[in-house]
Parts: sequence; structure tokens; C-alpha cells
Amino acid sequence: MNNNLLLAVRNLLRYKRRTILTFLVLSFGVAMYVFQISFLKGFTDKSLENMINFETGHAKIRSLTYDDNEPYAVKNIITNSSVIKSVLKKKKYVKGYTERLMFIGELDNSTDSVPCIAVGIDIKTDKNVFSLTQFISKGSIKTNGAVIGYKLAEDLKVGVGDSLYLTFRTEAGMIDSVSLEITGLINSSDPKANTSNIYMNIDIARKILRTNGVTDIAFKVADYMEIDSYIMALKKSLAGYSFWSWKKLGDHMLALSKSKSMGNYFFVIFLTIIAVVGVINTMLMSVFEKKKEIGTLKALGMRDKDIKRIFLIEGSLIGGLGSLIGIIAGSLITWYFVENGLDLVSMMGDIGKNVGFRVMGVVKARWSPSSIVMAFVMSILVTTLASFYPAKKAVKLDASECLRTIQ
Amino acid sequence: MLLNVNGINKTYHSGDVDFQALYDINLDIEKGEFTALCGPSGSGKTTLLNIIGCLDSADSGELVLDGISLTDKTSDELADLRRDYFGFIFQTYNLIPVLTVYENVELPLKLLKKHSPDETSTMVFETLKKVGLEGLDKRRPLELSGGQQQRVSIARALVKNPKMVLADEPTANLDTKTGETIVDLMKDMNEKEGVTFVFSTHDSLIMDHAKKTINLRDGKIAN
Ligand SMILES: Nc1ncnc2c1ncn2[C@@H]1O[C@H](COP(=O)(O)OP(=O)(O)O)[C@@H](O)[C@H]1O
Ligand SMILES: [Mg+2]
Repeated sequence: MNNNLLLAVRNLLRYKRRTILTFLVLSFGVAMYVFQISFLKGFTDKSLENMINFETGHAKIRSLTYDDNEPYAVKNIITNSSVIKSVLKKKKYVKGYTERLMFIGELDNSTDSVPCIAVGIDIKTDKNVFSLTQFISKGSIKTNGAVIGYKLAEDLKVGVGDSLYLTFRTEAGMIDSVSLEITGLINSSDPKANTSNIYMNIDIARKILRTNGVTDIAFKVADYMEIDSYIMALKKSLAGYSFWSWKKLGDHMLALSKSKSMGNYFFVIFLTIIAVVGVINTMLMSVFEKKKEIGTLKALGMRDKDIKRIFLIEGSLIGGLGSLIGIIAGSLITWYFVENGLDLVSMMGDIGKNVGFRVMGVVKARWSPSSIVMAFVMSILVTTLASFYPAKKAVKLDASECLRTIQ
Repeated sequence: MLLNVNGINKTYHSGDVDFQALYDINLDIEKGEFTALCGPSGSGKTTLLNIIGCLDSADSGELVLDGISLTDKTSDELADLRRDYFGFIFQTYNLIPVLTVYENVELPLKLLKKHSPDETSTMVFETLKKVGLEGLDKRRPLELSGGQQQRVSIARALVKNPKMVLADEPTANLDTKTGETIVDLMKDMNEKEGVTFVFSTHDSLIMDHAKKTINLRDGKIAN
């Protein structure tokens, strides 16, 4: 084995307790990082999936006057949706589309009332874009009546077969109210669908709003990451409409994820500082304890750069092995949660929707290989850099002084 | 002439205090010498040996090794000179504790990079045999007695056939009997292999074994 590597490895093994302690700090940090990143990814991805599968599709087409601040205003209605649909039908990259009529209302069980979002769906084509209809757990969506989230039903103390009053504004601006029979309950992975929405046949929605338009045409494409370029292409044929990609509609989710990962970064920076201080300290102690050996190596004719290298290798071994152990430990924890998920209900009661993310119930962690690789590379880099100072100290020592030290 | 020391002076500076450790040292070392550098503690033996061995530099004067002047050498050039010319033996043995006996003796050869692995291993085992350490090659230094450790360090100094071996009080940490066997071993190597030895000591018993002595007193040669 190469001298430098041999000496570095043996030196690490020599002060086992100190080496293990430095290892542990680093391993713990890396393990926490791997685990947290996977969790954040699980939450973010699941939130976006819920949004895409229950609310937005890969993108929505809306009227040009659609105002995000007044999302359910009646002026947003598109009356000639068939034009849009015929364009979408011709595009090969559009994998499915459906139209929805969305408005806000109040649900009333004659004692309490709660605000809700009412969604008229095209029963035949909704499944081409959304997975809502798979999650109607009791009953079904019919030409008459409505389905509501099971949680909303619990809050209003109603069940399938009961009726609720829905109060809303018609297209003309008049306040109106209808009685709707509940024909099914939604029990899905999306907290929003379970807690605040009422779904009905789009024909009923049109009838009660006294309109023949829709508010949204949602579609899915071949590659959702490329949604912006598909929208660019579609805009050429559909100039009179506004387009809302999932990226745009989910930006609050991505911002949330970013802000949470900022917290994660602070944690990582904090641990990095501890690791750097730990490594510098360990290595400096190692240098001063080995003064006589350094002097001996110099006497044997080892060049300064090789002596320096011994300490750098020692540092990078601490980094490499420490983070490897951390990655293994972190991956084991992550693996458990990737398989079994984290049960938010048992953790924070109710359906566990108050985590800021659009998730509920059991949320699974997701692997983030790039973060694992980054953690590994960064650990080695950081510990090697941290070893530079002690290594430099080692070669600067005067050979004859080193040999005079009593150790 | 192997080594020529010409008017060497050395002053240590520690804080505000200056201490002159060597005054105008002149001496010659011939090939094949077995020379003792004698003097009480503090007389400058270590300082002089370190300067001869390129581990320390003199303030003035000149050192000529094998015809090469050692003035103005870079630290890498000095390292290479130590590697190529000198073997060192220390009072406290200075073996690398994490390396086995074999690896300690092998280290100078690995630094030289002149020998094949097979040659290296033959040379290491032969040298260990010469110093009477057969069969102990897998031990760690701390598993050996002081005398055995000093034998390892002699083997480490001799393995590369250096032009000169510098030994700084090689027997000072050993009892008299063991000390004498160590000097006998060095002398044996000097006589059989023609290795040049310069060793320091303040022990008159050890001095008696030398073929030539240089007496140092307060940093001056007092022959
Ligand atoms: N780094 C130093 N700073 C100051 N004085 C020193 C230093 N090293 C050695 N000395 C002094 O130089 C003198 C000679 O030391 P040394 O060469 O070690 O003598 P010896 O080996 O004969 O005992 C001693 O008086 C010692 O105190
Ligand atoms: Mg001395």
C-alpha cells in the first residue's frame, strides 16, 4: 500500500474513540440530511400529485379575463369550450382533457353552514384527467345530486341519502339556493377533496348557475415536466385564452417546499460547522500528538507534500467513511418510511392536514438519489478542506524541533 | 572525504533570549569512520548532529557532503539528501507505532522508490537478520523491549545502505548492558559492512568503543 494511505489509515485506527466520535457527528448529520430530504420530497411530490390529480391536471385553459384573486368569479366563464376541445383533440401530445365548472357556495344542513367549492364535472371524461371518480367510496356520482368529501359530510353530520342546501350566485349575479341529495362520499388521498369540495354533474351545475359555459378545461400531456413548451405550442391555436400550468398553479407548494428546505439547509450548515470544527480539532490534535513522528518522517526523507497528504487523506477518510455510515443509517430510516410512510393521523390527530402540505393520512418518503450523492461528495470535500489547515501546520513544524519533543 | 564541516555557528532564539549553541565548528568525517561525539548534556551534540543530518540549518559556515555544498538548498532538496545519504538513530528510537517492525524498516526503501517489491522484501528481512530480529517482523514497536526497538531503528537506518548513520545518544535510554550490545552491533556493522557512524553520547563506557572521538564543551570542540 502507498505510504501515505497506509499511515493515514493506521492513524485513524489508532485513536479509535476520537475517530468514532468525529465519525458519529458526521454520520448523524448526513443521516438526518438524507432522511429529511426524502421526507420533504415525499411531502412535496405527494402534494403536487394531489393537486394535479384532483384539481389542476397538467394544465388548465381558462378565459383570458380569469383573475387569480377572484378565482370563482362568474365573468370567468368560457361559453365556447367546444372550440378548445376540438383543438385539444387534434394534438397528439394531449393525452386527455375534460371540462369543469367551478364556483363557490355555502353548504347548509339547516343548522350549520360551511363555505365550499362546488365543482361541476363531466362524468364521462373526468377520469381522462382526474382520479377523483376512483375515490367515491360510498355511492356514486349520478346525473342528479352531488358527492361530497367524507370529512365535510362528517362535519355537517350528513350521509349518503341526506340532502344539503347549496347557496350560490348565478351567472347573472342572483343569489340562489338548491337542495342536493348526497349520492356518494369521497375518501381520497387529497385533503382538499375530502374536506372542502362538493362535486356534481356539470349539467346540474350549468342548470343551477343558469349558464351554458365552463370555467376550466383541464388536460394532461405526455411529459408533464415539459408542460411549458406544450403550452407555447397550444397558444398558437388558442390565442384568446389563458393557460395555467401545474407549475404555475403549484408555485405556492414549491415555495413552501423551498422554505422548509431552507430550514433544512440551516440545519445542514449548522452540522457542517460542527463537522468542520470537529475535523479541524481532531486533526490538530493528531498533528500535535504526532510531532515526533512527523519529525521522524522528515528525517527519513519524506517530503513535505507527502506529509501533508497523510493528513489530508486522514481527513477525507473521516469524511468519506463518516458520511458513508450516515448515508447507510439515513437510508435505512428513509427506506422504512418509503415503504411504510409516516402516519400523520397518529402523529397529529384529525386527518393530519395541518402540515402545510396538501397531504393527509399516511405519507411516504421518497428517495432523492441526487441529494445522497451530494451529501457524500460534500462531506468528503468539507472534511478534506477542513484538514488543510492542520496538514499545513504539520509541514510547517521544524524537523529538529519535532524531534526534540518528548512524547 | 565524506563530510566537511566548515566554521559552523548556531544560535537559538527563544523569545528575547539568544543562546549560542555552537561556536565555529570545524570537522571532517571520512568514509568508514566510527566516531563518537562526546560531551555533557547541553554541550550541543544534538544541534550539531541535526545540522550534519540536514535537519537543521547553521547560521553561518558551510557543510560539504560528498562534494556537494549544502548551502541554499530547498526543503525538498534537503529531504532528498536525508533520504539518499543518511540513516538516523534516535535516543527514543522514534519508530512509527502504527507500523509493524517490517513496515518500519521497509519505509526508507519505499521512500527511495529504487527497489522492486521483491528486492525490498529481501533487503528488509536480511537487515532484520543482521540486527538479530528474525521472526519479529510482524510485531508492533510497542510490543518490543527497548533494546529490540533500538535494533529495529538500527535496521531502519541501515536498510538503504546509507553513506552515513547519525545516532543521537542511541544508548541513553537503555541499561548499560543492553547499551553496550547496541554499540557492539553498530561497530559490527561498521567493521563488516563499512558503514560510517557518527554517534553522540555522554557515557564514558560507550565512548570507549569509538575509534575516534570528538569532544564538545559548551558548543566548542575541545579535543
Ligand atoms: N530550540 C531551542 N531553543 C533554545 N535553546 C535551545 C534549543 N534547543 C537547544 N537549545 C540549547 O542549546 C544547547 C545545546 O543543546 P543540544 O544540542 O540539545 O545539546 P545536547 O544534545 O548536547 O544535550 C542547550 O543548552 C539547549 O538548552
Ligand atoms: Mg541531545
